[in-house]
Amino acid sequence: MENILLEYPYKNNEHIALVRLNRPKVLNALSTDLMNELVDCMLELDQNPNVRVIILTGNERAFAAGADIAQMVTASPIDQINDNRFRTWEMLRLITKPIIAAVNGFALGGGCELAMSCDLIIAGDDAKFSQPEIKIGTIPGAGGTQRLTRAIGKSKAMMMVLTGDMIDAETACDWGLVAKVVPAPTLLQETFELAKTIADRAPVAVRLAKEAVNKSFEMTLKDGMDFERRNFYLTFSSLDQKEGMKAFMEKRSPNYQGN
Amino acid sequence: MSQFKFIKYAEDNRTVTITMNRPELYNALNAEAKMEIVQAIREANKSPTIHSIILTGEGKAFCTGQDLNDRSVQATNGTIDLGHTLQTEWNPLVTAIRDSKKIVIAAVNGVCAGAGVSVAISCDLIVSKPNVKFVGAFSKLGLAPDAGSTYIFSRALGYQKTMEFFLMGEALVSEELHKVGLINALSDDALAKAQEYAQNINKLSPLSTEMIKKNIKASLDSTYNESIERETHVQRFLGNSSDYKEGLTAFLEKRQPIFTGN
Repeated sequence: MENILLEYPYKNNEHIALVRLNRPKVLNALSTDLMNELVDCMLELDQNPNVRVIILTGNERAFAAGADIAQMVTASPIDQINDNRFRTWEMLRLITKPIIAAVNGFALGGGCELAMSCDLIIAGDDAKFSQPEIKIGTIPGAGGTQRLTRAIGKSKAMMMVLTGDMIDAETACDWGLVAKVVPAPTLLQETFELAKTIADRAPVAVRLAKEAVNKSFEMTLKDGMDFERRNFYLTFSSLDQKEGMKAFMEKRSPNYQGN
Repeated sequence: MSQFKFIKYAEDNRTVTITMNRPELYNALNAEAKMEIVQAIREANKSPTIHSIILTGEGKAFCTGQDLNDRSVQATNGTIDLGHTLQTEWNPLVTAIRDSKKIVIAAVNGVCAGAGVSVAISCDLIVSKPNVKFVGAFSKLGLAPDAGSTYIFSRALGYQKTMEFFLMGEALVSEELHKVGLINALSDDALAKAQEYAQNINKLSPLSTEMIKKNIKASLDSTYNESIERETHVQRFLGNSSDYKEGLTAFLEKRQPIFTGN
């Protein structure tokens, strides 16, 4: 892996993996190679029984400043079809463990879309979000018109997608794109605190809950409710549910095994 | 540094002094002068050996705002966009001061007018000569106050006094602004007093001064709950710093701490 780094930075908590986009010279432009490495890494973490929560981050200046334009300047539609670069992006949807995007600096274009592909976004207060594709004669291609609209609503999504202009972290939080804004230097630590909280919850239930929330974007309310209920029933087949409720009755902290 | 035409840039013992240097124009700023200040602040922020910045003016004035000789602001052919002048020149300038991680101290050596008032009040600490006039010149030109001045004045002076200041266009003198807390200190040698502040700041942990500035600035736009949450985040972060370890050790050993910014 040249373009990403995998770290377990929290010594006493191996349940949390941190994946760092690592092309600092090009503000973490999302090349095909980087995306391939990222998806491979995510799929592996999804299988790793020790890992319960994944944090995806960039560096101080940029989460990711978008797709690698240099790869696309002269591309034809057929080149794009043959390249099928979004195949890897689609695979991110297969990850069943929660992924938290920790965004400092720029999350532009593909960077914004990658952050939105994660389950929730925590932003440093200097973060900036935009879908600037319109400024170079194209449009978002990895969810920028779809996930963004679901996150912030039509009118605001239109404004962002049609102007290509940036919004700051506070605005992104007010609009519901971002879950929480923290002072930039504290971003990783605060994201870790959140990850730790989630990692302390029953892992099977966390995965079923993530799945159910994501289904709400795909289904009618009735189907979504039915889906949720099945997942709810399903948690009762886990030992963690027994442990959780037992611990609650006994007024102690639960000790989850992930089964 | 010789790269600057309209300002002077001098480093001395961890402090950068930026001097607006168009005394013949009472330090009115054209587009280039503004960009030079922004660039100077950026450079000072990049340098790990610099801990504080002093902003002052050469000659009789601190800053008298927009250079009205600049073509971009002259209403000659009817197509004028002062919004653009703000977006591309003044707002970046006052934002650079407010976003500077290193503390910026204004040494107000003389009159501030128009957006020049904004330049002064964007700074983190303000030292002024006594009897210096602050003039919101906008209403007399048929304009409205800009470059962040409505925000800062209404918070410092209250609504009615701010209305009076900007409507009537009459000067407030530094003594009045000192009384309401907008100016930190009055001194006949404003620069010397600013240097004294700077020397004190230079002894502190840069991490800590940066976060103090950040949190207090943010608290002005926040609820109590948001503020205590931000305080918690920042303290957790600083609590893991080497500087805190050093600060604590020095305190227990009854000596002066030596901070490194880590």
